[in-house]
Amino acid sequence: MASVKLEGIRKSYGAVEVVKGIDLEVADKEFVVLVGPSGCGKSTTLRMIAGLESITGGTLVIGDRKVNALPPRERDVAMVFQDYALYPHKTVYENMAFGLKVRNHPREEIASRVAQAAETLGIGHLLDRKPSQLSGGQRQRVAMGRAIVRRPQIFLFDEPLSNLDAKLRGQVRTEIKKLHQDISATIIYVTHDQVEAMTLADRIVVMRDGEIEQLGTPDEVYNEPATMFVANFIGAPAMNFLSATVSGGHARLAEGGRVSLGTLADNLAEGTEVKVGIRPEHFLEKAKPDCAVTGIVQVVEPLGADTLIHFAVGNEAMTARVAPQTRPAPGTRLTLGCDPERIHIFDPASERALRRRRPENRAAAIAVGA
Amino acid sequence: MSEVMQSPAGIESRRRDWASLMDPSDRTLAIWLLAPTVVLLLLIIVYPVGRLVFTSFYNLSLTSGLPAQYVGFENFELMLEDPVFWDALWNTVLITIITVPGALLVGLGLALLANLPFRHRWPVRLALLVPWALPLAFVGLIFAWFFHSQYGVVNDVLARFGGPRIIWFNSPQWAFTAICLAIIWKTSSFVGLILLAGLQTIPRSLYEAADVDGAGRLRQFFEITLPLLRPAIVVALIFRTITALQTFDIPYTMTRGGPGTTTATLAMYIHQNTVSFLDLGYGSALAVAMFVLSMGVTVIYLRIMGRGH
Amino acid sequence: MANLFTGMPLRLIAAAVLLVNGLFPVLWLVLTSLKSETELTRVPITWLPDRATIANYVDAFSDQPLHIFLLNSFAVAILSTIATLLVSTFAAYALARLQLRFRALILSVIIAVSTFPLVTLLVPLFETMRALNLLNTYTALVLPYTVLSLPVCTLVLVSFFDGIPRDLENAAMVDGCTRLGALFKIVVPLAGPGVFTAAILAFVNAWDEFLLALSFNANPQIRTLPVGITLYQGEFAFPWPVISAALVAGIVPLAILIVIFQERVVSGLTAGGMKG
Repeated sequence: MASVKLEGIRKSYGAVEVVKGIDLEVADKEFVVLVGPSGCGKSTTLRMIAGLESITGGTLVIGDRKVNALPPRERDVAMVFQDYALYPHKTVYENMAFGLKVRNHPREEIASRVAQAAETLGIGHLLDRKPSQLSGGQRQRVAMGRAIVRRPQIFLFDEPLSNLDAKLRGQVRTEIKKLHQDISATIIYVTHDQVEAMTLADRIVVMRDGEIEQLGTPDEVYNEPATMFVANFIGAPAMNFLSATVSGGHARLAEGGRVSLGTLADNLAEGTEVKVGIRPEHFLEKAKPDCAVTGIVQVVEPLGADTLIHFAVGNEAMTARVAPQTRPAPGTRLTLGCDPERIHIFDPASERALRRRRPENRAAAIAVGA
Repeated sequence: MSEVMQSPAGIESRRRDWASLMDPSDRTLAIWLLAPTVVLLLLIIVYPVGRLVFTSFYNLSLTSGLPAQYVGFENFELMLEDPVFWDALWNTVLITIITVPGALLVGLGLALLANLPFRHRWPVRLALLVPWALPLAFVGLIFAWFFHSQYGVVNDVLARFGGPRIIWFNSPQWAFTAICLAIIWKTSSFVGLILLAGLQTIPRSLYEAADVDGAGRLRQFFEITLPLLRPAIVVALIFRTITALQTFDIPYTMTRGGPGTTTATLAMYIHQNTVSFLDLGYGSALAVAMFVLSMGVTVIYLRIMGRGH
Repeated sequence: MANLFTGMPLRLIAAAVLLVNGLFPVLWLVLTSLKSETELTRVPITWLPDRATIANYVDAFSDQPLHIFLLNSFAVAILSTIATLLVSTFAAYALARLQLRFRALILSVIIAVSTFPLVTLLVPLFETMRALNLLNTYTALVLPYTVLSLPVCTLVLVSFFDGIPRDLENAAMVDGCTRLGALFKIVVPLAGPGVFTAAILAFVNAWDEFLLALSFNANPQIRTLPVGITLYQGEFAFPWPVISAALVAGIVPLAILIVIFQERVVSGLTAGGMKG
């Protein structure tokens, strides 16, 4: 069983605590992505799982063993590093074979495993080359090959795509997803890129300042963000936030627009200050009676498939993603509609979401404390 | 007619060639900038080497008052029959064989220790720089005092551990040992600095990958550290060997070559013949021998390095 | 390396080994220089001085013209450093900036020169200096010393100039400078650190040189420091008390240089070394 369990995992460097209590259970064969801005502790957490950093507090269990004190080589994990960490003086073959050679696997077995992995990754023709003779994408594949060959319980990826150019990144990302489908292994993957997180993960762990902001499937994290941070981090362009006041079942916006809140307004007193969250892609071209936002157009960016409109509501900057033909002139007034079902409400002080109530989520919403 | 005319493509590529040589004013500038170097090298190296070879074929003894006489290979024949020459040559070779690997090993050890993550880098760096900065002559004097048979600290430490009291400079073997130790002490720091720089170019992630792959510390040293240090080791080896063949300062200040000529090096013999005996012909012949020896070693190194690539 | 071994104890031991190895001989020298002659001739020897005295230092300057030796060393070192810097800066600029087809070749020649056995130059240079009546002058040493440090300084400076973005001079030339103008207005002001590093290396090389100084400038008034101390005449073969004080005095300038400029020195050495 290649599962991983982190209970209250903490990491301090001297007096500075960088990981402040992580609880996470990764199931066998699951693809979990740790995502967050620089300095949130995601890489440190990954390295603790690998054994490259000591664990200051908490328990780490891999499979059915507590591994806190075990060195990396005894944890049966494989890691793909951000800078690939290929041995420059060894050939591709020797790089991939190293882990097996060290564990004294017989030569024929090594040869066949390397050949198999090379085949899967499409690098069979590069086995005699040295890393300096390979392109970035090829080096990345060799790094993955080195991990695959070991057939470990857990695969760890530390920002593997950040050194690749944009086009290659998309390509290799897809290959990693396919890899997961082919070899169905447990993967824990760290990245700062929310696109990678959304496309690859079975579950996403959004981290901030050493703690977990939210843990959920890509759908959950996108559709039901627990905090403003998560709402802003996931999805691009980022979600728009508007200051508003609760008034008669609506959120009244500063510039005079309004959004119907429906049942969400039940527990909110008249005059409560809230933040309304609307994703750029959830704006509608025509204003609706129960949802209208008005502002002044600043910049219009035609993307071909759609158009981004940057407009200002009072002094809050907004972005809307609309149909490609919509091209209002800068400086004009613009009124957009939205689907009230797709609105998010946040408490400005705690930045936590007051979740939209869906009938089947009633119990969960109560538990969250909306 | 058409053979006389150049094709447009031909003219274009010729223009490109000239452009790659840089524009004419730059060319003049380059010549002027490099001229002093070239002049100096001609003056201080090329001309003297030529003169050296020339003089070696002459009997030129400044004490005799006679003008130089052409004697062909006589100086070289004398050299080959000169027991002091062979002693000096043997000492030089022995010093090289002992101190080059010695300095390399000690230097590697120092570099590995210095590469540990210290909170402050400067004390460690200083510890490597001080021996480098000291003149060899000073090192010779300091170690001569170290190994003083009555008042030296080495004998004092030996006595505290119950060891014998060695009269270092009375016996050829012990004197030689003391000299080698002094040389190794001084040069291992320079080697250490070069190797330390090499060590610091090895990314930490390589060692981490090896940790995850399952390699132990020792294995990592032989499979990662040493191979990646190879260029730095080669550089250190070459420079160490060349300077070892020219050893002069430390034996001169420690023993003046004694007892007798048992610790004299080839460089010291050249010096003696030239400056003390003023026998420039013979001195030249000896220097030619030294030159051939050094160049030979350099060529061997280049061959070995070439094969490595 | 994994965390298992980099605990405090190992680092402490390593630091101790390195510091003792590097500094003990000099430390012993300083201790020796502070002991009186009678204390030094006592058996068994003492480590820390019973009663520190600066008598040796006084003697070092009065018995022998130590200050003259120091002066000579400074003069020769500074003169040859300036000369080396000029020559190598020009050469390094040419190599780094002007895309010479033969850059690799010239660099190889320079490296080859640094593997040249300078000892062999002793004879012909001695002959020449003697013939030109230049023995026992500063010139006799400054000329060879300039070549001595030329390879190292050139390599350091080339690597340094390589690091200055070409676009800075290109911008200056677009704005109207000639190449030479760009050299003086842009590169020279920025070259400070590199030139400084090369200067230190050249200075130390010149200060430490012994063989040529011993052979050419034997006159007591013109001797450089290493020669002067080695040839101290005393009642006994080696008047250790005075010599140790003189040695410490001779080490002080060097120590000051390397303590203040450690980083530069290390980077300069490794640039010169690694290029090889």
